[in-house]
Amino acid sequence: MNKTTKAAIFIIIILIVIFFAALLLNKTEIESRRELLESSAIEVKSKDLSDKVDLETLQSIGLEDFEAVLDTSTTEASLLDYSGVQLIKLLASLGYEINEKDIIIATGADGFSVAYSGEEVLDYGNIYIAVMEEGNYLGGIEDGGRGPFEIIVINDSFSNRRCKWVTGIEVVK
Amino acid sequence: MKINFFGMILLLLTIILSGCGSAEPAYQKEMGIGVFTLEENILFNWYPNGIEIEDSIVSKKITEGSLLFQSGKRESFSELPNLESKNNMVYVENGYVDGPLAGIYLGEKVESITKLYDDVIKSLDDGVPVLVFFIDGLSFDQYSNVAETGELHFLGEYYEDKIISVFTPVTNAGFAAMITGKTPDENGVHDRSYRDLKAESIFGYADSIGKRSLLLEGEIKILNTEIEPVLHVDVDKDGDTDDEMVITALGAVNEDYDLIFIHFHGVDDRGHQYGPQSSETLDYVKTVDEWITNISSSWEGNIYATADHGMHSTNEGGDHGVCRYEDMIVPYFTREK
Repeated sequence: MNKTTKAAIFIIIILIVIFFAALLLNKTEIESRRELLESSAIEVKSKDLSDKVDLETLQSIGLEDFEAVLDTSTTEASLLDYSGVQLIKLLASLGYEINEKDIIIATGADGFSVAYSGEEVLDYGNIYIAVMEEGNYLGGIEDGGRGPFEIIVINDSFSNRRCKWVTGIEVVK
Repeated sequence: MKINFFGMILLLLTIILSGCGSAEPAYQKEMGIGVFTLEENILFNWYPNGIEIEDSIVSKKITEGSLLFQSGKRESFSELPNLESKNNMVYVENGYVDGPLAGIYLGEKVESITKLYDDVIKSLDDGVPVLVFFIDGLSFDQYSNVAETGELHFLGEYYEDKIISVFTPVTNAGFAAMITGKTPDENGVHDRSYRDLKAESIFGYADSIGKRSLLLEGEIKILNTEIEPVLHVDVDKDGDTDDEMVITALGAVNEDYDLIFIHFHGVDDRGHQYGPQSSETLDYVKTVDEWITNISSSWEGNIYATADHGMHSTNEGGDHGVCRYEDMIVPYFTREK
C-alpha cells in the first residue's frame, strides 16, 4: 500500500467517524428535545381558573398540522410546516370562555410577553401553540430552540407576535 | 505532484469546524464606521486611510466629539485619536480593549438619551410626579419637518434640544439606555435580541423609594423591567395600539401615580412601512402630538418626551440600526413645573 492510498483511507475513516458522531449528536438532541417537551408545562390562568397544560393535554385535544411564515432578523421569510393545537381549542377544553373583548397574554421563559385580543384568538385557525417545526421538536431556550412550546399567529407575517418558550397564558377579562 | 495530505486533513477539519463558530451578537463582523454631526452625515461605512476624515474635520473645523463603539460605549474626545483598520473593522489605534468602533459623532458635547433617566430620577427625588412619552423612532429630522408646519402643540412648545441615541440605535437598546441612564456596554442591552437589564431602571428606583409607577406598552413587552407593563391590543382594528393606550393613559393621569411611562409605536411602524419623511409618518407625528397635548393637560407634574432612535429612508421605506445622523439624532422635550 503506497503513501497516497494510506492517506486516502485515513481521510475516509475520519469522514466516517465524523458522520457517525454527527448522527449520534443529532439523535441525542432529538431525544433531549422530546424529553424536554414531555417534562414541560404551560400555566394557564384567569381570575377564577388555573391549569397546567403539558404535551399530554395537547395530544388529547389533537395536534393539527399547519403552515406559518417564519421571518427573523437573521433569516429570510420562509413558509414552514408546524404541528400544534389551536389556542382557542385549548382554552375551550379547559373551560375558559373567551369573548372578543378579552385580552390573552402569553409569557415566555425569558420574560417576554405578547397580548392577543379575544377576537383574534376566536378567529378559527389563527393562533396555535406549536410543538413541532418541519417534523422536529422545537427544543428549548438552552439548546437554541424556540420551544418546547411556541405560540404562532398565522396572520403575523413578520413573526414579531410569536411567543417563544411559552410558560404562561393568562386570560384577562 | 506532491500532495500535503496533512494539509488536506487540516483543511477538511477547518471547513467542518467553521460551521461551529461562536456568535458575537454585539459586534458586526465587517463594518466601516459612520461619521456624522448634529446636522448631517459626513462619511458612511468608512475605513480609515488618513485622508477623508481629516479633510472632513478640517472643512468642518470640528475637533471634538464622541467615539461610538460597537459595544455601546460612548467616549468623548477633544482631539480625534488615530484610527486603524483590522479584520475589516475600525479601531482606535492601540485601543483594542474597547473593541471595534461603530461611528464617530463630530461636534460639541451633546446629551445622550440617557438624560431621560437623570431627569426622571431628579423629579422623583424632588417629589414631583413625572410623565414620560417615549415616541419610538422619531428622528430629529422628522420632528423638524413637522414643526416647520407650525401644527405641533406640545412638541412644538416644549422642544428642548437635539440629543444622541446609543449604538445600536434600535428599540431595545435605546429603551434600556433611556430608563437605566447607562449605555449598552453597562446596561447589557445591545440590540433586539437582549431583554434583561444589568442596571436598575427608573421603575426599580421608583419602587425602591416607595413611588408608584405605570408602564404602558403596545402588544408586546420589550424589556424585562422591575414592573410588568400594561399591554394593549388593537381593539378597533385600525392597525395601531397607540390609540387604545391613550385611553388607558387618560384614565391613569387622574390616578395616584408618581411615574407614568407611555411607549408610542406608530411613528416607527409608519416610518418602516412608508418611509420616515412620508406624509403618512409625518401626519402621524401630529396625531401623537395631539394625544400628548391632551394627556398632558391633566398632568400637574414634570413631563419629558424623546425617542429611542431615529430612522433613515430606504428603497422599501425606512430602517434604523446604523451609526448615521438620521438614526442617531433625536429630539428631547421638557415641561417642568
